[in-house]
Amino acid sequence: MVIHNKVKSVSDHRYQACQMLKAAFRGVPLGAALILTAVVCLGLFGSLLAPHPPTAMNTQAMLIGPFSHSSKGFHLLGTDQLGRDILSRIMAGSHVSLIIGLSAVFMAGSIGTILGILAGYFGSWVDSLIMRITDTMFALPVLVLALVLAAIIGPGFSNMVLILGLVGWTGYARLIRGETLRIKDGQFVKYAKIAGTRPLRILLRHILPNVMNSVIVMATLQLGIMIIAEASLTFLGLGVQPPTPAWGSMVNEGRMFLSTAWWISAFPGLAILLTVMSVNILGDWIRIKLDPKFRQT
Amino acid sequence: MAVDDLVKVRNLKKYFPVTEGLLLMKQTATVKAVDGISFGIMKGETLGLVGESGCGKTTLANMILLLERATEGNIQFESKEISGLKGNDLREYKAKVQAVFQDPYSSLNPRLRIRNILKEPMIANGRLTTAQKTQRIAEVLNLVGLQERDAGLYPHEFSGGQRQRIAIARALCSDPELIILDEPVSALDVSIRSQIMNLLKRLQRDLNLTYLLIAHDLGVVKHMSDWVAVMYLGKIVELAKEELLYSHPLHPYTKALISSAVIIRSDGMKEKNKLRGDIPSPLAIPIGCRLHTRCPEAMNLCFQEEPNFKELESNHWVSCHHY
Amino acid sequence: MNNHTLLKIKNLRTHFFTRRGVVRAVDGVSFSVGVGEVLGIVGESGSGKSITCLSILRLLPQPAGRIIEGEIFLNGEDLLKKSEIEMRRFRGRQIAMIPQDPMSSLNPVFTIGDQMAAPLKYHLGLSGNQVAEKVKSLLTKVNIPSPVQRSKQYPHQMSGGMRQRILGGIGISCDPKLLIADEPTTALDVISQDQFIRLLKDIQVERRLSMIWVTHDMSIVAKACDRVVVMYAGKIVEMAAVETLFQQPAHPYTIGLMRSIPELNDSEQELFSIPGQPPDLLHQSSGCRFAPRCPEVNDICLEKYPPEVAISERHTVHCWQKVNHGR
Repeated sequence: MVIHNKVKSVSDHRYQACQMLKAAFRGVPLGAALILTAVVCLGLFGSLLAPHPPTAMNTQAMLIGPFSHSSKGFHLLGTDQLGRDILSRIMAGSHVSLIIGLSAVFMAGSIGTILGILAGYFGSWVDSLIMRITDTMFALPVLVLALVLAAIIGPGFSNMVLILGLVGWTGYARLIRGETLRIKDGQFVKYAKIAGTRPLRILLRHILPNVMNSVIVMATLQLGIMIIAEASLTFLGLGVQPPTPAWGSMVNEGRMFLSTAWWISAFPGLAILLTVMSVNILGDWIRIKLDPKFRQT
Repeated sequence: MAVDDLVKVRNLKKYFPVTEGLLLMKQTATVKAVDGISFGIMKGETLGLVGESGCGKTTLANMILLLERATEGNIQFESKEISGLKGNDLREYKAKVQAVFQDPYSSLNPRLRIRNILKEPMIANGRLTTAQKTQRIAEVLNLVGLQERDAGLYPHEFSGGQRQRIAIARALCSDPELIILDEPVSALDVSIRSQIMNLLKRLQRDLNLTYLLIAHDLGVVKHMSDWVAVMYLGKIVELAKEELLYSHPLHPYTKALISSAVIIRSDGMKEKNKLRGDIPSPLAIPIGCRLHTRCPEAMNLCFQEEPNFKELESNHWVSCHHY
Repeated sequence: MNNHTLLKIKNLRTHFFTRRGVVRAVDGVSFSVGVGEVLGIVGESGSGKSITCLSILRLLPQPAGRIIEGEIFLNGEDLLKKSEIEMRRFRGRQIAMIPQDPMSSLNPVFTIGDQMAAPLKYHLGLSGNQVAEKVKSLLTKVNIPSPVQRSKQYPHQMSGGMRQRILGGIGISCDPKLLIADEPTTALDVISQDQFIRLLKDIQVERRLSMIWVTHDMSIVAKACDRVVVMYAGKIVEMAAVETLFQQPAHPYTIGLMRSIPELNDSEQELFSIPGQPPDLLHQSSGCRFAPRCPEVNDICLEKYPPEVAISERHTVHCWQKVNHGR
């Protein structure tokens, strides 16, 4: 009897945990989640799973199309101008693209959101200062800015994240400043002030949660841009150095062969597209999840 | 305006500079939002403040709530000048003076549970323990006719009338003396308005609250107030006990307001509102009596000299050259 | 209804198909408006009063809103059978609307004159001097001082009352047969409100215009309307001439509404108030929609929607109480 009870309570416990998990993931867009999980797995184990060594060249099998064989074996997505297997390179490259993309977006988003909120909430000279910096950065070409920064802090993997973060925050700052101005005039902020709530608390409790929607939307849109931007920097010799594969630089390299060997650019491009779309859809889901209005009770 | 007023406002003024230019801000004009106002409210009473939009009602409320600084004049609360309050005194003042605004939708942070919305004024002001806070939340929810379990819900789960109850509960949390009610029912449905008005009156009776009621609906003001002040372009033009003001209004502007609000159940329209034209811009307040551009009874004197605010009978002040 | 009916609505049902379910915003509404008559539609938020008007204009929020049943006849033509292009010719010309918010309803980057000229050019085909003349006469009509200068100004240079009068001027500019005023005075203060109602009333009488006033304010009904329809949760609960409604309201909801308004001549301590909350349109029972808040509720009220009962010739009500009394 006692044992029976114990078994039951364990299964009950499991059942409860199961229900909680179910509730947490209710309505998650499956396709997007699957693709993203796959990409993350690739990022972690891609180089181990790849059918060919991603940097191995094969002069006998340059620019062969998808579904063809070479002396090294089957190339599902073809090979590039140096005879490297595209599929293997996409799998291995997901690592670089994802880490750089996600960390750069996170960094840009954090800087931009903080500055945007400060500018919007405090106004006057704080606002003027932050917004003039933003305007100046908008006026300069992003790549030139990145080049200057790279010249100062030097090239490299983590430096590239830093550079992308430092040039990518302006959009957030503008958007979030506007949102903050709107929310600041909302009456619940006025109430908080009447009650004597400290500014920092107002920012964290009242403003930040209410601008998160916009931040998430913008971040999901920016991920794709960041992955491509990584390619541009690589192209200028500042990013990940060849022959290490990365999606952005693969698209870039394939450009010259677009009319003869479309697959070199097309498949990494497709990988970027799928990833960005999945992140977008998933971001939408998170946004709704965070909004009490849509939360199921 | 007795000595034992809870709040006393004397010659209060608020001017907003209008500036032009990008770098070198040049002041080109002045908006006289509040232009010399004096009144007092006794403890446990309600002063109703009526006037057209843009007459300075809300600016006045903002100054009492310390959201804006007065240009001139002073506000006293419990015989203490509020602009000089610091530290503990300031915190105490903020706990004692609360507000309920018009829009029950934008007044509650959509991301916070009711419990946390109600905690806010207590966190800012008090030294209550968590248990005391929880108890206080249950108390105030009870006072406004909501359930204790409502504390766990989010604002969007309530209707407009219930949200206004929550806003009132928040104002009550810190055990206030004075509540500023800025159009507390005008955004609500007609059938809900009377519920909220009754609630506010009951709370006033039970908790001995003092209200400053800002509203444009003369019926609401009459029902709620002990005293009524009529504002026009930043000035009080008439101030009287509620019964006096409604039974024999003196100022032409008050007369126009009252005749504009017809009495429903009587037949047809009674006296016609005789005011003409539109309200002048607060940037260009007329010289002399402010109403002379619209007043049907304007005389030569009205164009030249601003009338004084004088007590015509006991408990009835007016500023008009006709009296 | 006097000799000639201009607008006739039969059993109109407008539903909104949302993620959370079907909102039956308008659920079987029938009424008519005679030539030269002013009909008031009174109701609170969610009563379906504004959606009824948007249905007449066929300007429902897309894609959620759909008219699923009913007929709307204007001068014998069924508006619901018209194509979108035909409707565009109708709006502004045959049926005009005065919107609620004078602040956002005028485009801030065009002058008043330009905005008043647009419908004149589109519907009436006027041009050049004719337009300028007509704009001037319209502005004079709606009591805007120095109309020629004012027509060259922008909306932000006007007060709220003036803007609302200008919107009224745009509404009547093409001599519509039916003018719908959707709470046009809510954003105005008492005096401008009074001025605006009087102005529209004068124009209405002068042109024998048919009007629908949508409002939640009984005092506006008293000032502006000939006949009133009271709506609650998508249904008409009572219909009567204004004097009848004020003197002998029959539906418990109407009675409650009248009693809960603070008046200038009363001195009661406690106001009467209808208990409960506004209706939830997503979950409606088959019974009377007011039943959950009604002081005189019976078993039958919860089960079946009451039929229309004629109390007098032009006074109808939907209430089981009256059904029993009538027999």
